[in-house]
Amino acid sequence: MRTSTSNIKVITPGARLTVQDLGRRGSQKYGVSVSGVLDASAAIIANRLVGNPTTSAVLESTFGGVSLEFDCESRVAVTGADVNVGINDVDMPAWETIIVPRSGVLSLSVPISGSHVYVAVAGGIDSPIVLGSRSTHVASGIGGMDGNAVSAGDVLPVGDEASSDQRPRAGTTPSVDLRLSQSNFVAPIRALPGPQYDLFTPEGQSSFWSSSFNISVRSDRQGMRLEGPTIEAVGGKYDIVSDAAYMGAVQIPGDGMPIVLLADRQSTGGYTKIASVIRADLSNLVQRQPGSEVVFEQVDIDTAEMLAREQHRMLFDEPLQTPSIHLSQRVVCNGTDMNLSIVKPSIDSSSSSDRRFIWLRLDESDDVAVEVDESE
Amino acid sequence: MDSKRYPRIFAANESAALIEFGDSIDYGINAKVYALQRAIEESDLAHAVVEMIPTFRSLLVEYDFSEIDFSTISSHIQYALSAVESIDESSDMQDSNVYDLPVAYGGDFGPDLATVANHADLSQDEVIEIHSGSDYRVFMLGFAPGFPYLGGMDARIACPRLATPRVRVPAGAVGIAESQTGIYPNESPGGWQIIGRSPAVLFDVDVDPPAALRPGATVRFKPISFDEFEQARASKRSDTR
Repeated sequence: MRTSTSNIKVITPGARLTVQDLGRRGSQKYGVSVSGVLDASAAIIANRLVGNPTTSAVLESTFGGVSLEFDCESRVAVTGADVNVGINDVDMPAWETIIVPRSGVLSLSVPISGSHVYVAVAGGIDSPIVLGSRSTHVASGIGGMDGNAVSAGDVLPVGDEASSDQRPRAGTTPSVDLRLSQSNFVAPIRALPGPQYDLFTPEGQSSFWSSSFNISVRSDRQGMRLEGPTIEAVGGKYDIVSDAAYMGAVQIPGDGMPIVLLADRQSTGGYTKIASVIRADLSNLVQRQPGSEVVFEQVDIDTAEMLAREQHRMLFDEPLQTPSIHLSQRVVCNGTDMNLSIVKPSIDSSSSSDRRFIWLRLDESDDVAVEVDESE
Repeated sequence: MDSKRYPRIFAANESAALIEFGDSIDYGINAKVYALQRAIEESDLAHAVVEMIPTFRSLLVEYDFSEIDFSTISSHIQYALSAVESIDESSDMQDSNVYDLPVAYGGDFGPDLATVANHADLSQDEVIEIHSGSDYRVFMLGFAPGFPYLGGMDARIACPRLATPRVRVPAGAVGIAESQTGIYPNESPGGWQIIGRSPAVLFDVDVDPPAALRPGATVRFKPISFDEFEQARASKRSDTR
């Protein structure tokens, strides 16, 4: 067994904490679920902010309430739902490269808005690869921590970090703001007509596009259950000969209530699919909390493709924004002449709260967060 | 059903094309699904394809939308379809192997054998004889890792699902649901009437491919005694590294 040089000890896992990457691809033909992160955009950005390949495994927390202890100094990024992030009880920014010191504790509050939070660590979570992926599929006991979600006391191995010239500095941010807020969560979710659209009555079809649905508390990683008017199928027939399932497919089972299939979906299913949520709107949908409203809006494949390509460009091609050096000065440290830099101090236009720390850099060493006493 | 509807190429979303050959369980339709899967695997398209999901009657082609768009991939698929038009149930499928799966019927291994027998108005031995006397076709894998959808069960032993699904069905459980029969590769919840259990390992992530049964294969159930079940289990255990 490989001994990891760096580990994360889980103090509090919150409601649900799992190891996920972009999913287990190529085994659906054997009946294996893809699983993987629910909000791929947030996970991709988190990985980029710590210098990882976008396919590295991250931690996905649903509803936050997590604390993690890092045994080594670690480059970390928190993205996804809007949570308060702390390192040893000092407030830290989300959607930004941060450094957790050796033995530091990273804490995530419950979300202010959104549902799923992502923690990427440089080197990625290095749990075993099963069928090409580290993603956890709890229902079939594949991947993650021996097929399970993460529990309190678990020790998660961390992989080797990228070479030093590819390590984003503390304070690095995405150049495009991809954060979702409450105002995004009232926008219509765009969808294409699904493969069995014609098996619904005209009333059922029109009811699907014109109604407002509520996200059920019974939603999980397998599917988001929606409550609203019954969507009527022709002849009340909701069963089909089993067909392939895919991310964002909106199926209507016998009770007439939609289920949007998500990451942990089975590879095949026998219910009619009325619509398919477009890729560009999946993050917006999965981040909505139970009890939130969902309204669907019909678009065509050309629009869906255009939006998917635009999103892909923002996620993969937009360069990250490196922090600016605010002040640089020669200092003598332990008898050696060194360069001390202050990196991008307390200016964060997107956040209402003032920062309580600055990053200090000594020569080319990793940045250290220093708490600022605001009274001075 | 309107046969002119099929085959149909449909944009499931911006990264998945669904090719439907019909909407019924049919050997000829199923053969076309696997023929198209093979044709695409061997075509220039393969580099843009992320993975494919074959089912009873359709093939989902998931592709990288940053490499190819729907209109381009559908014209490639249209071309591949011309090669599978002539495929029917007599054509070679992916796998012509016959798998003999040993099954210990009844007792603790088959708690619902009596229910199925009562429902069919047959003796338990007759149910075993009928169930183990047919050849079954693996139409597809789905529902759970390695789970085979088998076609060809004798209608006399059809039986509705349990009113309340079990929280835990053990690996190897052989069940009946309506006119289908199947075998659970792993422990899972399940609502099928369980008539027996097989010591065979049908899914193992450390084996390539991980699923023992492949679409197109023929499955036969071979009755074994409870002692033979235990012996098979014991020898499997000593096999494991």
